[in-house]
Amino acid sequence: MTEQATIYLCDDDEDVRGGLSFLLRHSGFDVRAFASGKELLECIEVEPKPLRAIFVLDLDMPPMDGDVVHDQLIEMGYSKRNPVVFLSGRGTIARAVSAVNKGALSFVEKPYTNDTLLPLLHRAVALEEQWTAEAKRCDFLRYMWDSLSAQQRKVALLVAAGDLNKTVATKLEIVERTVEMHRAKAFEKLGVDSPAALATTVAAMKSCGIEMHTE
Amino acid sequence: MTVSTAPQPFQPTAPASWINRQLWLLPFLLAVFFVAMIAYWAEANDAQEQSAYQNTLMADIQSVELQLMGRQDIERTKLREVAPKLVGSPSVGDVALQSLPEVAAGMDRLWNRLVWIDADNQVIARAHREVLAQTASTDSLKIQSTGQAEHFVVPVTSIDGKPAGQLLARYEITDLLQSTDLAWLNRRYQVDFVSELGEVIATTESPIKVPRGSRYEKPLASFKDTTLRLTQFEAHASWRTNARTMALLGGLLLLGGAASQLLRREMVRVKRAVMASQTEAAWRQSMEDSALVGLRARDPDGRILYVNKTLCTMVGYSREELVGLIPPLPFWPPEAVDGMMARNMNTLAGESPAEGFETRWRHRDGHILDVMIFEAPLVNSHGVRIGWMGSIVDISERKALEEKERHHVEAMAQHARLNDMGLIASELAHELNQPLTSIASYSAGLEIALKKRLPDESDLLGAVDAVHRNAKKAGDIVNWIRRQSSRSESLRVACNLNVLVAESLKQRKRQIERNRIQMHLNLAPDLPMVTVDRIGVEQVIANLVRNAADALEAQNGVRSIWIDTRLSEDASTRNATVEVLVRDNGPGLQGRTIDMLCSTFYSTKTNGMGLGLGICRAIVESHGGRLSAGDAPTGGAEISFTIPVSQAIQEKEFQ
Repeated sequence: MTEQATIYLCDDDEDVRGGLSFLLRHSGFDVRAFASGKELLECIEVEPKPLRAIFVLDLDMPPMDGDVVHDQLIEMGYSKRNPVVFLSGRGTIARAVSAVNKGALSFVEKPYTNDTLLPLLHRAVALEEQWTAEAKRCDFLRYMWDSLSAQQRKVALLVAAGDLNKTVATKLEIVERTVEMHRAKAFEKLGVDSPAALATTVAAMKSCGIEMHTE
Repeated sequence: MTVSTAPQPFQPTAPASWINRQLWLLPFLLAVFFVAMIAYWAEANDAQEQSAYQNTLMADIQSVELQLMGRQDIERTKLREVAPKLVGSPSVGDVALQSLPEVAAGMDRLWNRLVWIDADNQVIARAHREVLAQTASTDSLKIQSTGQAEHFVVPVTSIDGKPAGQLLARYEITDLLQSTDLAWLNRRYQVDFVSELGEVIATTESPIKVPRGSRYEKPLASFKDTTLRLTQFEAHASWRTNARTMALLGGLLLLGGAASQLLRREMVRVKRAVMASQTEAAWRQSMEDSALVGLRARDPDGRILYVNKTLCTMVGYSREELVGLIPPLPFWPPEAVDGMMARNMNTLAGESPAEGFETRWRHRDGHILDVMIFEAPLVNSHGVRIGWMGSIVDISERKALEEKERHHVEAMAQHARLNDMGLIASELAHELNQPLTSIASYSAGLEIALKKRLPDESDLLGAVDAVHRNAKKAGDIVNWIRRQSSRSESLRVACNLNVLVAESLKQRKRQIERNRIQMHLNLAPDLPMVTVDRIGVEQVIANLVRNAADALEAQNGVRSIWIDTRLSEDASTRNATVEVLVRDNGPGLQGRTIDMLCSTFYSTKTNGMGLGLGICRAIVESHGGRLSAGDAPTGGAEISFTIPVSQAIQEKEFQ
């Protein structure tokens, strides 16, 4: 990974927003600052995907509070690869905790110091890289799986489950010769050379949440 | 009937007054008695009259008898005078006899036959007359039948004194009667002479004058076998037959009866009235005595005319001791007598405030009581003021409660003020957060940038570092304050918000009553407990009610405040929360948002110790809840806040 994630900062207080972007820029982060959740959501909608972003959200910014923005992000599917960090003021701890329970990375209480915020953001960047890599792999696996025909998928799943060609033929009510043909094709497309390697790949696909069922 | 002063509400008076109750009969009885007396007197009078009359009658008859006998005597004498003449006369014969003047006169008068018989009953001579000349008077007797004759017999004596026979003169009774003057009798009686056969011989009967009275008969001694019968013309008038008397007496009885009837009706009416007034008096008495309000009536000089039991109990003096007293009164505290005399003069002058005034009295046992006195003029039926009626309410208890309440409220206010200071500090800390965060960020960024570009400018670097350090230090102070306030927040107890609603309504009770606001409580019965700063939340509710009441102040008509509590769910966290809504039917928010309403935070209202909505919001948020405001669908403002049910527990877990 050569490129680092951009920090999408959202705070309705101009001074806090300015100071924080200044600090983060000089600490080596790419920063984009937004005055409201609405602006942020509008922007990321038109950004190229996949978005390389870390969200830093102020909790208390009416009318659209940070936790509401977070809910939107979860709904839009960003939470899987984009860490979210909350900035919490007074009286919002319960909501911050609730947001963390919903999958946010963490929160910092204002006034924070760079001693607490910067390490957290570095961790977030690393996490984002990891999540992005995983997502990329999953994307690749999905691409490979999508390239298989329906019959090839059935055969691949049965073989990965440990069935012999003969058994597969019986189960699918086709001749063994055809099974061998589909199997060779699937091995080739998925870049594996043994049933064990196939099983590993299928497990990785499952963990990526790829839809494996063929019918 | 006597009106007893002791209350005897429903009892007629004692049985001893049976006579009293029958008193109405008296006029009738008197009338009966009077009539009886008159009857008795009349009866006695009658009897006396009757006997007097009887006597008169007897005397009258006697007179008649005597009169008749007198006539007979005269005739007999006349006859006796004839006898000597016969003896001396030379020739005795009928002619000679008849020619005697005495005989002729006798014949004219009465006799119709005269016979001289000798001792051997041989007739010597006789004379007779056929018809007697009528000499009867007009109103004299009418002869009914004749033929009844009587004889006078006279012995004849010779010269030598030898008996020479007898001289018999015969006469008709009717002739005798006719020649007797009975006119004096005729006026009063019808006179009848009746023979022994019952045949009326002579009568004064006349068709003009019919006798009606009683009759009386007596056999006459002078005439054998003849009865004198007298019949009164006028019937003796017994009083009983006197219609006028009877009418008078009957009238008297009727009048007596009528008087009795009237009296009876009057007595019944009076009795009823007395009973009613007794009952009423008893009721009034028991009402006055059972009243919680002391009552006293005073004349225009301030003299006590009446006190009820309650007042007596209030001041510890008996009714007898109080009635008749004039100010200064014994239950006035000695140290305040001058002031009270002055006020008393005002009261008697009619300048007592209609809404009453408060004062202090001293009970006989020395304890002081606070009383509220309302004076009203006593006006008689002519509209003239005859004194003053005072109602006295013992407000000692109320005063004590008010005092207690005031202490409580003051303590609350003190507490709230302390709490406010904490909240203000906390709010300040929050407000300082943003600039400090900004400063810290800028200075940290500056430091990083400077280190990269001008690593040799230690002077500049030191300055930036100092700014950064100081920002950090300020941030630490702010955090310390926040920790302090969160420590005070941790002084929280589990309680039911419904209880806090009730508590805060007690705080605002006066305002609610004064402004005549109708409270409508709709409290969820199964509200879970929440862990809150009890006083803080109580102040929040009281403040919302106060704001609602203030908003209703200018409102005419019905003023209502609704308070609802319910279990709900926080929109963002999905946590269970308890929600309190305060709604009014006032003018509503008129476009103001919750932020505008809360911006009055720094200009807390000067009157009273109500918290601004900003502080309310701060308190609610310090509990992890939310305060929101809007217009109710029914009009009016609706302010609500939520308190998370398990907020405190979550916070603890996190820490």
